[in-house]
Amino acid sequence: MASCEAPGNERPRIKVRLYGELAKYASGRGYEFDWPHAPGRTIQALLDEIGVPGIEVWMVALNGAKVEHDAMPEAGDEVMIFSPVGGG
Amino acid sequence: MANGYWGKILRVNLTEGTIKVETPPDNWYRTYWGGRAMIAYFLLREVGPDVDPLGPDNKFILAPGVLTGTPFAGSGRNSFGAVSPLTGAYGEGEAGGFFGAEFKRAGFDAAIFEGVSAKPVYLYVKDGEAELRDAGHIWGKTTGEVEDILQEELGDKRIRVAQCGLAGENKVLLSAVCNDLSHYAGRAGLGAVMGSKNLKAVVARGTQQVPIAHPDKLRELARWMADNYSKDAQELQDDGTARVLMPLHTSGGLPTRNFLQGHFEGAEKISGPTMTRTILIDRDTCYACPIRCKRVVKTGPPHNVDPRYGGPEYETLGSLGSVCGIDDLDAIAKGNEICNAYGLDTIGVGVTIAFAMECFENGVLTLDDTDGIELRFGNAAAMLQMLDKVVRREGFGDVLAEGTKRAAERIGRGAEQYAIHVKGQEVPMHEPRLKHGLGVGYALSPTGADHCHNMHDTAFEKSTGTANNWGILEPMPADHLGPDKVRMLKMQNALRSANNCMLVCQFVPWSPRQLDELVHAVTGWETTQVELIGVGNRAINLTRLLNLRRGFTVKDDKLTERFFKPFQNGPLAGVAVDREAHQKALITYYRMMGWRDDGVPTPEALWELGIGWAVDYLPAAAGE
Repeated sequence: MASCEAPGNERPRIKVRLYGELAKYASGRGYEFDWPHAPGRTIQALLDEIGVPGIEVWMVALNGAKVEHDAMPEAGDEVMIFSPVGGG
Repeated sequence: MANGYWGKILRVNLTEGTIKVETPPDNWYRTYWGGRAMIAYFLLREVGPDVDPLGPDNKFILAPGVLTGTPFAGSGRNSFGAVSPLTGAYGEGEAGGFFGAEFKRAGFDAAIFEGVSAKPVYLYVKDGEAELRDAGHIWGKTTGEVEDILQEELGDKRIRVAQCGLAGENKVLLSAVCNDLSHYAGRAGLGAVMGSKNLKAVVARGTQQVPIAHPDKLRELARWMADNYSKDAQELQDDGTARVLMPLHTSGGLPTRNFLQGHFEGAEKISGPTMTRTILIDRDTCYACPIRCKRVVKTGPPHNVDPRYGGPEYETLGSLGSVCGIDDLDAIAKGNEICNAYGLDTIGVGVTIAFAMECFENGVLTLDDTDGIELRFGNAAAMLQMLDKVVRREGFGDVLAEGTKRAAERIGRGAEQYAIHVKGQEVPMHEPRLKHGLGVGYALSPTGADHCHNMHDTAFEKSTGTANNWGILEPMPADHLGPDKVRMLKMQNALRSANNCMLVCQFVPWSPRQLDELVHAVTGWETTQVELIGVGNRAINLTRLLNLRRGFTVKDDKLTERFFKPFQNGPLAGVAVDREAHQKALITYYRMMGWRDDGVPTPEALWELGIGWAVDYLPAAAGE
């Protein structure tokens, strides 16, 4: 699932934060991790790369603002991915 | 032999200083299970419709449930109930920790307190014995001091204490009942009912095992949860209930500045992960629970927060934080400590302070009213000052100690429009303009706005999860309010009401099917989902009848006006609750419940639930 992750840090990166029960898809990276940036890649494609099933994603946000899955992060952006929330 | 209960209920007459033990039959336990249904049963039958909630004729009831104190995750809870001095309606709250399990293991299923003691007392329950003891020396003390003194006096570090705090003694209507210093039955002003009765505390010590019908089955279920909770509750362990703050903020549903906004620019500073990284020093838990979602926090100067009182839940981060426009996590943690040390409901008092802040910002209140305190959004020092004043009913604190509804009436000058409550109970940290079914649940709730016995629409947008246990299969948007959403709300209300009868934590991810298995394993009863939903609906109907008798009508099933107005900005800009759809949903709920369109249960609905006796308590004409 991390096959497209580039070796080293030469490529621009984006920051990914997995919230709620999605942390299990971080494969030991913790809630927050860097991921290689790919120009023109949608958040939906990013979810597929990371291996987060769409059925478990309630909401995605780019730099703190709620967006649709077809939004395209730029290098250095932060993508937040949330599982459904109930009470608290 | 009975399993899951002892068949013994304490009746404590505080006026006479006497204690009797009542022994209801097995079928009574099978019908009511404990907690909410048990409390509603006694209050409906024994407390007259005109009783003053702070007078001698109100009754304060402590009720664990059939699952309380048995060894599995989520069983450490108990209910407290009375007619609420805050709302005048049915009042109840539940709390976790260890007290409820200890009380149950002391050999009793509930305690009913009636009358008023001439002097402060506490009830000491130990392994089948119960006695009233003088509490003069602990009156006026902080909750921590009370626990220390009682441990010393009774020579036992393992006692567990439920108590009302200074706020309850002062009959603050936002006062809570405290289990073990950091677990709170916060809502409905129940601390004031204890205070009005001169009942300072209930102290429990129990070494008896609650009898269990099928211990192997229960062990199997308990082991399953210990092995599997991390799939659904790992973040709950890591960041506590505060895990929901960032997603709610991002979606536009984080109550901010007295519900004027649904997103907070300071959200990240008060989020669960931030608390974990900064002031968290430990994780605490409740009886038999491996999840450990409770926070223990500590700060340095200037607040020097004492870790003994735990740490803020999500509700508190909202109510003392974003709702007051405050992004200072240390100050919120201090506010949490003050509330826990003195027995305040963090939700109620936070929303009441935010109400005063909005009044102040709009010139309805001035420095002359507020004892010179600049009660503006974002002023953390003012929030902390007001907490102290509310506890002591000092100066302007005496006005806010009455809660938003009464405070607004007292202030006048149009303050009512800023009072965010339903039936007089302040709205908790969940936004009806995000969760539209929850808004209907707020309007319907017998205790006023409540997020615990309610549905959270956002959990069912992608899949219906464990609601598929009842054949509810189609996910639906959070802003949808059709009859299918009402069907979901009806089942969720009944489930959560049943949780508060068997007494199990709603955060431990048990499915309805597993809850049924837990009840069977503990009690040996051949229960099904029908009975689980039935006990929940029994409690809903009994609490409804109590409120009808106290003069509440369909007009009181009223969501706060603010939620029908759109947000001006943020992710939900332009979104409001659709008034027509909301009203229609209420009628749909009444009809699905077998109630009339004026919200009164039909006799047939009561008979169908096996509580035909309650027909006698229907309002005149309805029972014919």
